[in-house]
Amino acid sequence: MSNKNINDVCEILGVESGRSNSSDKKLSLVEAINAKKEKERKEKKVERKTFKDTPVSRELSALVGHHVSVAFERATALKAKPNLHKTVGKWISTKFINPARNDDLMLSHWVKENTEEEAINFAEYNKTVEVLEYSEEEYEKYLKDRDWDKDETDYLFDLCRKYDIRWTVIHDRYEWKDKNRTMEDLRDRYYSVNKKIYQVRPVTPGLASQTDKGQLIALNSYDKAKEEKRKLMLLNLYSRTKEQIEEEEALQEISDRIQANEKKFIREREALMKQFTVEMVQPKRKKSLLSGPTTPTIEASGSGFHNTADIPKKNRRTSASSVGSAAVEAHSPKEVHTPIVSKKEKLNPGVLVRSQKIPIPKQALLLKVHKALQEFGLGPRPTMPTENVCSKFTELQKMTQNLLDLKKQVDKQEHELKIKRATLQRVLSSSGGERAGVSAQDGASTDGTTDTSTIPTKRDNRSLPNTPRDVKRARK
Amino acid sequence: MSTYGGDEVSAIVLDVGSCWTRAGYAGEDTPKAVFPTSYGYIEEEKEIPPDPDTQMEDVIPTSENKPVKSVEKRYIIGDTGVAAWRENMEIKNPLVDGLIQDWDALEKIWDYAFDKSLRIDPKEHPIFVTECAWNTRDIRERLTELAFEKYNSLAFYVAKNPVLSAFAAGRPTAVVMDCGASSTSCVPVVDGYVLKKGIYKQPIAGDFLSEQLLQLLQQKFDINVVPHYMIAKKTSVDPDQPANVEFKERPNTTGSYHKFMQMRIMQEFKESVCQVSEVTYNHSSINTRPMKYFEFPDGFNTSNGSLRFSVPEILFDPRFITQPQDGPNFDTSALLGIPQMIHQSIGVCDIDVRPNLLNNIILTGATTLLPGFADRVNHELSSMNPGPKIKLYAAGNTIERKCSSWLGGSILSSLGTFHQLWISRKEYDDYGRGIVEKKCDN
Repeated sequence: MSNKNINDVCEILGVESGRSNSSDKKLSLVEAINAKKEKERKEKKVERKTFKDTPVSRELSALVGHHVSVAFERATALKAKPNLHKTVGKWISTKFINPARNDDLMLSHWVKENTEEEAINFAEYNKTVEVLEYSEEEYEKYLKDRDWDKDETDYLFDLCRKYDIRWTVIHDRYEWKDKNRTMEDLRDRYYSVNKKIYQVRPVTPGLASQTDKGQLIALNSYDKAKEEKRKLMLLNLYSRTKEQIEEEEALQEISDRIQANEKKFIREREALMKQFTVEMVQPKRKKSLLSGPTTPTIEASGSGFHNTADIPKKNRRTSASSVGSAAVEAHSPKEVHTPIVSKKEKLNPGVLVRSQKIPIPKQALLLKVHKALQEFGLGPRPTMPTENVCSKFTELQKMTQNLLDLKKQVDKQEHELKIKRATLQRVLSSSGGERAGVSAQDGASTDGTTDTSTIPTKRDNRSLPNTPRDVKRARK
Repeated sequence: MSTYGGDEVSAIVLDVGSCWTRAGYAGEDTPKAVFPTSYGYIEEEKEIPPDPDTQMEDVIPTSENKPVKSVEKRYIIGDTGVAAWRENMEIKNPLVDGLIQDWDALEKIWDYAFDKSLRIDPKEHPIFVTECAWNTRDIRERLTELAFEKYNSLAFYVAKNPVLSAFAAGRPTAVVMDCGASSTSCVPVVDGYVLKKGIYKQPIAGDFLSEQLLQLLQQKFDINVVPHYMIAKKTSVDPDQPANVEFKERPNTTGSYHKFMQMRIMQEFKESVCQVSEVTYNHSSINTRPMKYFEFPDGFNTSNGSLRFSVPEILFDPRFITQPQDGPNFDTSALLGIPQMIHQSIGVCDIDVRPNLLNNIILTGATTLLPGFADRVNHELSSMNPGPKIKLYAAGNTIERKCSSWLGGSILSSLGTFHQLWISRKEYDDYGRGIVEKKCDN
């Protein structure tokens, strides 16, 4: 074993490899281990000693380890020594009169000596509800009722006073001759009397103002029929059978589900509508361009602009609203003064120049548009930005943009066509045979008529470079 | 104490129930003294010596002047007094259907409570007495009279048991179902007031069950229930073997005493064996339940099966009543099961308080301690009222369940706000005994 190895072993065993001398390496290892054991034993002794000092049992400390929690260490004194010299405070039976009583009943309770009189005055909890009182005269004048005589009304008010207007209790205790009054009868009578009295009595000094009086009257209005209906409904609710409740729960579940579905449906529809309207306002480039070439607006020159009748039915809506719309609007004299700012556009606060309102073309086309405008001898902004000029300029810009878009699309399609033709040619040549080539060309032409999206013909292609001039003419 | 609104004036709370009388100091959690309400009496003939004042000298004694013999009752009150065998001692209960009938005996009971149990002078203490919900005006007034005229108490109050039970449970509004010894009652309480129209009661309770049990054991199972006082010596026997017992010589034992002691055994039988089916009674499922052994005082012991369920079932279905072989039959058609009683009692109340009442149903009285009682009530009530929420309150503490009205009285009379409610001597003098109707209206 080399010295280095020994050191490793020592390290693993956790003993200090003090000596590096290789001559007595075996001995040194044994010694080191023994020394370590000795040290551990000493440490344990110390630990045991410390645990004896703490009030914690050895078993517990063995569980806790030497990290005795703070809470245990605090509990040093187990039992406080009773203080035998101190005298206990005396309690004295004292007589007292409760101020809530109106007689001189002396009750006695135990009070601690040398303490102040009791803090709680129980008399202050002696609260009663104030019940209106009416005079004989008032009754004769205002309160006469066909169903109620004065004695019974008095009795009712007495009960109200006695039971602090607890209607359940009043109704329970109500016994007047052979009359069988419902709780609603009692309440109706009570509140109608109250209301009447408040109405006829002048504003008492206790009441601050007329508004208080109004409030009092409002508070004392009682709708007997409504209350009866409410109770009837409650009763129905109370007396449901188990089957009814189960049915109701099932129905509730279904209704919840339907509502959730409906919400989901509405949300989805809204999302769809939003998408749709966005498309209407600024149609996706692809769609508009695909349908674009078939419209006569570009195909025909000048006079064909508003000839929407020529547009195939399928495409009428999109073409009219998208590409064609601007041109059509521009053409009709009524709509010359179309505002430059579209509804969606945000207006910046503050003063601005009209030419600022002219929309900037798309970044990708910005340079090309400017170049095309330059071709017409125009700058990036009109030199005299009157409203008319501005609107025309915007239109022109828009059209140029559309045109450029279309041109790009056409180029792309043409390129694709070229590739397809080349592959076709290759296929034909590989199969060999003139006849096959003819049929393939037929197929291509039929393709063109059926699918409106793959239109580009040679004629379109030829006319395209001329279109800026067409637009210019239209502008004039 | 005052932090909880208490201001204790060392009142004495006295609850004379149909089986047990509880007496103690207000503000404590258990009564100091509990002893049977039933009292024993022995009629003794006594000679009343003629009045010396009216007796003239030198007059030949005639028949009129002969010493008059009169029958005088010697009262024996208290648990040890009543239960001990005495020659010719009759046992009687001063209450009938919860109402006080025997006023002499009631006075003796009060005397016993004040002098023997609590050892207090009633002049120094306000006295708080409980009463049943259907107590009559006359009885209340007589109680007031008794407290002031005979005992000269400092102050007096009488409150209704259900209200106090509700207070003991900490509820001002509740339906209190009290199934005690003599009667089962169901009383709605709103804001500490008993709703009189909602009181339902019937005499089917603990004592009735005991009687049914005794009848069944003696007639159907042919078991002779021999009370302790008769037994001199007994040896243990195997189950279902005849008892090996020697009897004591007990001459002149009255029938009422014998019955009283038999009922005590039945009480024990109920406590140790009887049970209520947790769900609606089903004979076949009951038969599968384990049997329970009971050893009678004479050493005879047997296992009990369906009997221990079918007798308490009377409380829930009165059709389980066994008609007596001799004597008039019970009319079970007018009787209600306990859940029906609660349901009807709540049904009488206004619809607005019903949810509150259903949410606070208090079970009290010692008979409700039968195992499975609360479960059964809950089961039946929930099937009867599927809509609203039902909550039962049954104190877990046995003492609390047995003495709930005493406990409520103890709480109420130790409150600081209660001072103004006591009827004072002056008020009694001013108004007369009618004051009780005015002041103790709950």
